[in-house]
Amino acid sequence: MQLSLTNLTKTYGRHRVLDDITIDVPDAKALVVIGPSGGGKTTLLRIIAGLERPDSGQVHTDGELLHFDEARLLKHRRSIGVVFQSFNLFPHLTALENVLLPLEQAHGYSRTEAIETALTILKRFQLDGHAAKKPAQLSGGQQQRVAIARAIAIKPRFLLFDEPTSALDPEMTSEVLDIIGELRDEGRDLLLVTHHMGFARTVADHCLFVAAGKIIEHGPVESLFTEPHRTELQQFLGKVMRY
Amino acid sequence: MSTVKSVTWFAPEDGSDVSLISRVVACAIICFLLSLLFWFAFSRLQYGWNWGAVWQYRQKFMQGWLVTVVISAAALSLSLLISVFFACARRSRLLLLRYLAILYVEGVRGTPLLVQILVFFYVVADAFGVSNRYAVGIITLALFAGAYLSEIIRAGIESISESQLESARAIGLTRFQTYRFVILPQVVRRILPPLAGQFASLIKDSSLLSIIAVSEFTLNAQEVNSYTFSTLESYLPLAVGYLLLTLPISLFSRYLEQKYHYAT
Repeated sequence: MQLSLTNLTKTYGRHRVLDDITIDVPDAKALVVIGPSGGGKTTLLRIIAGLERPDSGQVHTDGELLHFDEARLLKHRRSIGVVFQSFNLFPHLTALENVLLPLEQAHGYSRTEAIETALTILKRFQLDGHAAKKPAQLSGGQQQRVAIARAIAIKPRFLLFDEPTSALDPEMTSEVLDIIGELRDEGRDLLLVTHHMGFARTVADHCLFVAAGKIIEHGPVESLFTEPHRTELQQFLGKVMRY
Repeated sequence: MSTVKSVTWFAPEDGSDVSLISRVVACAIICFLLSLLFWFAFSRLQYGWNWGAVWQYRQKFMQGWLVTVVISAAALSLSLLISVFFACARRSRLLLLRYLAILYVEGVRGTPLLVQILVFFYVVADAFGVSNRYAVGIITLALFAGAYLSEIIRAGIESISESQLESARAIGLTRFQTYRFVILPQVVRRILPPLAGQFASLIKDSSLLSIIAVSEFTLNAQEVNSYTFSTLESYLPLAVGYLLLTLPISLFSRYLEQKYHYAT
């Protein structure tokens, strides 16, 4: 995935969440965004997901300019998959129906095509036994796997993960991280916001360090972790790697 | 466990099913005590029962009851349409619509139905040359219930969390699809209990249409009373007649609640 941001700015009231960000990430299979909470990581992801309009600035994904009118935003959202921190499954639908909904309603699959596609993916994530269950009957890890299934079923251009394991206990975390690793190995493009530095290091090839609304430093993940240049990043890594 | 054969006085702490025998025993005791109370009250009554006089008018009761059924059904359907419109209007970004909805809800909820019926029939309908008291009655009743329903629906829509809407947008649903597949099914499930209560109220409120001489159940009972001077014999069947309409609504809503049950 190619990502380029030009003068991207977003404010909430007086708070400047993204402060005139300009960056060109040439080509990364897996892009990881790290940084302290409240630094603007999630807002950045939401703008790229087409869920939020910036105040000013441009976003290009794979060379394509993102337009912020509703019709084109809808088209954009339909072309990518987003996985949220709190799963965000629809509680009144079964696991299967959760995966079917975008296929049928947003992508024009017929009922039979949609069911076939959905079941194949659920099976792949060892969820076929849970297809008829409602989200409340599933563990957190299972719910997040259904959410990932829902996101990849539509064959997205790329996947966005917003702290996908922050609401999970350690055992379930690895369940979900394994899947993200697998997806990456399959060659799917993904952008991941995470607090798991170890995982970020193994899965990503490019890393952005976002703090105080700016991209303080970015580069290939190995060099960023082994020899950070900026003091903000050194301090951040020092804190999160301590334990 | 419903197979346990002993009678228990408390529902299990874990919220599991109460055994059949326990439920039957509890219901029987309550029914017994209540009938004892009423039996005592009625036995103290110095009253010459005359069911025969009222029995002659059973056709009249039946007709009135049927009119109430038709009026209620019509007002109920109409009030649903009205309330969905005003619930959406209340959330609209168009200020004219929003304030119209606020004014409507507060105006209707804050004034007595009795006055509304009189004003609508003798002033508004008259001014527009509408003289069909049944049509006016149904519309007034629907407008009245619609104010309460629209607030129930609005509260239901607003109880759907932001993350659900976000998720719907993220998977590429349009605004209409979001309402149709994500919001509506969850709202219906949540507002069923207050909705059923409001429908029961509407049925009972239809009795007030008797003041503009709509020949519904209550008016017929009143007439029978004035023919026979048998007050209790005229009004007790009235209570039973309304119960026959409101109870099925409660039961049906409970059935739907269970059918659409999911934990959140």
